[in-house]
Amino acid sequence: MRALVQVRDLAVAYRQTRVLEGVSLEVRAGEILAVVGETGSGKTTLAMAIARLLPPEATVRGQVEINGYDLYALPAHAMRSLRGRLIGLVPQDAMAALNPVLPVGAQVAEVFRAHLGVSAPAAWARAVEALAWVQIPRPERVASLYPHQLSGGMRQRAILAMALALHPPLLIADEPTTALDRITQSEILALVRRLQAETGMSVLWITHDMEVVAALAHRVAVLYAGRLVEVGPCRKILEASAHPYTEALVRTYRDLLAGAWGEPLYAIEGYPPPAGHMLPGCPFHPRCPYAQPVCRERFPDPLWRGEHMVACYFPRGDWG
Amino acid sequence: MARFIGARAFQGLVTLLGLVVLAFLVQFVIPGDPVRMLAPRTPTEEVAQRIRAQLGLDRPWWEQLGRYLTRIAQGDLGESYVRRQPVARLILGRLPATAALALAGVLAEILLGFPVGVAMALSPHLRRWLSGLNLVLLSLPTFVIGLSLLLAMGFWLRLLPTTGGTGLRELILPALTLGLAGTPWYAGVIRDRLEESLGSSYIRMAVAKGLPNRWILVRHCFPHVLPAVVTMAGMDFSAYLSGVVVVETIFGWPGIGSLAVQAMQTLDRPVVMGTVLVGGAAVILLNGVVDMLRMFLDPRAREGIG
Amino acid sequence: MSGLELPILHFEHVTRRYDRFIALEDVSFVVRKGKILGLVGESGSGKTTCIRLALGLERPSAGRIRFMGRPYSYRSKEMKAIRRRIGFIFQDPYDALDPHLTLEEIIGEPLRAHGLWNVTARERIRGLLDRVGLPDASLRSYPTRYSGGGLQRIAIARALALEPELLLCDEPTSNLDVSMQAQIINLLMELQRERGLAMVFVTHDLPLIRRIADDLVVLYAGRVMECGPAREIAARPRHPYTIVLLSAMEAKIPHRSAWDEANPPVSPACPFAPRCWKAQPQCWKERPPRIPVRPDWEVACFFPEE
Repeated sequence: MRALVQVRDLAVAYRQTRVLEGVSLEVRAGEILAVVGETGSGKTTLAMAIARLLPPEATVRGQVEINGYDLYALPAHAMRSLRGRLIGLVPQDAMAALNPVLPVGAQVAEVFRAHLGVSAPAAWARAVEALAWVQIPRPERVASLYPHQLSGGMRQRAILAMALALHPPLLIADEPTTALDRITQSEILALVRRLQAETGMSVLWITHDMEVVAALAHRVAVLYAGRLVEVGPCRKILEASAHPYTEALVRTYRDLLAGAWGEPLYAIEGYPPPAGHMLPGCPFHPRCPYAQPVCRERFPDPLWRGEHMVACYFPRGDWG
Repeated sequence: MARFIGARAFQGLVTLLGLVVLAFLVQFVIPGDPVRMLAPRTPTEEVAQRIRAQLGLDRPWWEQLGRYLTRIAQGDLGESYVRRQPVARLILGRLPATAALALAGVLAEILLGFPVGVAMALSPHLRRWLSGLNLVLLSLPTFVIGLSLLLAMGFWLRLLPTTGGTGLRELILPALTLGLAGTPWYAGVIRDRLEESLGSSYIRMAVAKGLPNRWILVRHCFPHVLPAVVTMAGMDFSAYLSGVVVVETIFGWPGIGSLAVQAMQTLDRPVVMGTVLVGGAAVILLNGVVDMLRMFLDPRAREGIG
Repeated sequence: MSGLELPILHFEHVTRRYDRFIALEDVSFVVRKGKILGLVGESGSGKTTCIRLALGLERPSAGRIRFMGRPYSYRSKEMKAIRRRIGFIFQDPYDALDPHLTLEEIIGEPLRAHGLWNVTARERIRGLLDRVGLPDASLRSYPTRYSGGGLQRIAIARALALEPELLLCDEPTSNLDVSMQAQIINLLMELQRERGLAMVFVTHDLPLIRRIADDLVVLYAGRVMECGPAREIAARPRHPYTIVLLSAMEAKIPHRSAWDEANPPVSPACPFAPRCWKAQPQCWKERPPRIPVRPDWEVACFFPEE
């Protein structure tokens, strides 16, 4: 499969604080790639770096190529015309991402007006279509409502309509369902799966929730403390994870569902390093049960087996 | 909506009543005898008593207050002790000039403060220069700003009149003085609100949608700034309506402010009370107008009273 | 439930209204001594209102709450005595701990507030920090040094400082990372067992509560959908909503999307009817009865699973 997004050796730092280091990753055409990590793992930074939306004080090294465009080599005006057309973004908090003083229809319509130069009434008509497309009932009425008049799920759909208005080949979603209740969450996931299948777009889905990963992703990339530690097909990650961190993460998730009443939960001991604190060697070694002296010295080179990559000296399962 | 307006109107009337009573009572505490100010020379006790009786000043304070309230309820603001004219006519005569200056002053503040605030929020480079300028303006007393303008524009460049009057050309300098004095406040508030808005999630979303910068600024940021500007402008406007003494004096602008000061110096109680009443009413009314404007600007607030 | 022992906390037909909005309606449950009650619901279900009511921060609009058999009087002295016996842990540890206070001040605060600070207090705080897994923490350090998991440990130490009989936990792990969640839950379980604490554990995570709770109350839109023994309910849920909460997201959750955009409808009858795949016309019109599955297990549904 063709790679739509090609990230090469990406590093992001805020002054002295290194948030991402040596991340190389591709998002293929027509796939849903989940990026899994906990707070401070750099997963949001990765998403924003791929959208070139990091704040100006961030320093970025490495390369992000989308559909042949070298993103960080583009002049600002060219980048602007690609936003929305090439990359659609769904941020974490749908309420905060909608302007409270504009009707949602206007916020969708302005995408058409700015990019296609269509008239206001024509843009409005297309906005209503876009809202209908993301399964908002009675879209012509919803279009004239303000964000606070919508339920959480409706807001998230309106954001999706905005992000996908111009049918970009890439959708970047940053934990968009975390704040939603379970039914709405599953509805949004089903909708995204449907839209993805319909349009053949690629989706980069940021999450900390293995359950969402299992329900949505084709492939999974695991971030730990700013480093990419494992990438592979979703089945492989869930059933034959190679990195000790991934293994522990999957086990936490499985154990919660399968364990018996009264049994202690399976827990990964220790704490993740504070954000931006890059340890020499593998960042997981202080918490890793299999760590050896070598793990403390240098970050391991990636090992590949077909589709499956792991950055570990002592990978689990049948790797050894 | 009607219920909201009704409630606010009632609340405003109660406030106004409180204000009038308070102002009325304060006059009894201020030392000085209006009668002595009125009589040409030191009057004999007999004459003074007669004048007192004529003005009703010989009655106890609660009776005076009761009479005053009854009269203003009938729309009668009384007669000036000094000028022997109805207070209402005196104030009404000054009102157009005052309103013109207040409006022009507020407009000048906004027109000067807005670009400065926007420039400070958008350009870190300009910010340093502009905050220096703001600091200078903040530290200058209004009369210094006014006198400097008068000197520069009126006497040296001879662009504008210096003699006072109520024409449009005469309005420019006092309005500009108010504008310059208000610029740092407006610029500061506009900068803060704009920066807050620029850092928000919906602005990042607007950027991610590929909207042009100017579009984002005008359509997404300004609505966030506007309510604060409206609030400040409303407060200033109502304050200016009750008179801007210093500016009126410097530029010979015949407004309510100078009327009030003269009245206080001559212990002309009906006029003092009249200016307090008109000023208070202006503040209360404009406050209500500002609140309604803000509601109009923010759909979330609109709903609460709809 | 063993009827002989006095329950620690008892909600009797508690309703809480805010103007027209009903946050809780006719909610009854008991928290047994040394047992964990799981209070499960999603945002807007009224679970946080339950906590506020239990702490006496709000009063029920109808119904009654008892602590150790005595109804809440809401007299400040008695409420203080009750609060002394209730510890609580909130969802957001970043918000719940004042960053300007040292660990000693934070954990010692309840002791000082109840006049129990004495020579052994510092030793006690030390012991608490050891117990919650922060043996190296300096009493003089500030919470800013800790991340979410560490902060929640500090919050637990504070909650236990007065050796309460009841611990209220409002989603104590939902702001934490997966790898921290299990650590904190395990710690809470150990403490609960070794101290014989009664506990109310509020969460939206039914798979989690299934592992730890003795009793279960499932709330939706302020009403109890199902309540009874946690293990049995988790093994065989009867209410459609409980089934939704327990089903994995991979297997598509059964639902019917009949929501309205502006207001997700809460029908006067069953609030879950608009989203329920089993809903019949009856569910929209009448309030479902509380059907006893067993003497200690009730489900509010016309068509519960068999």
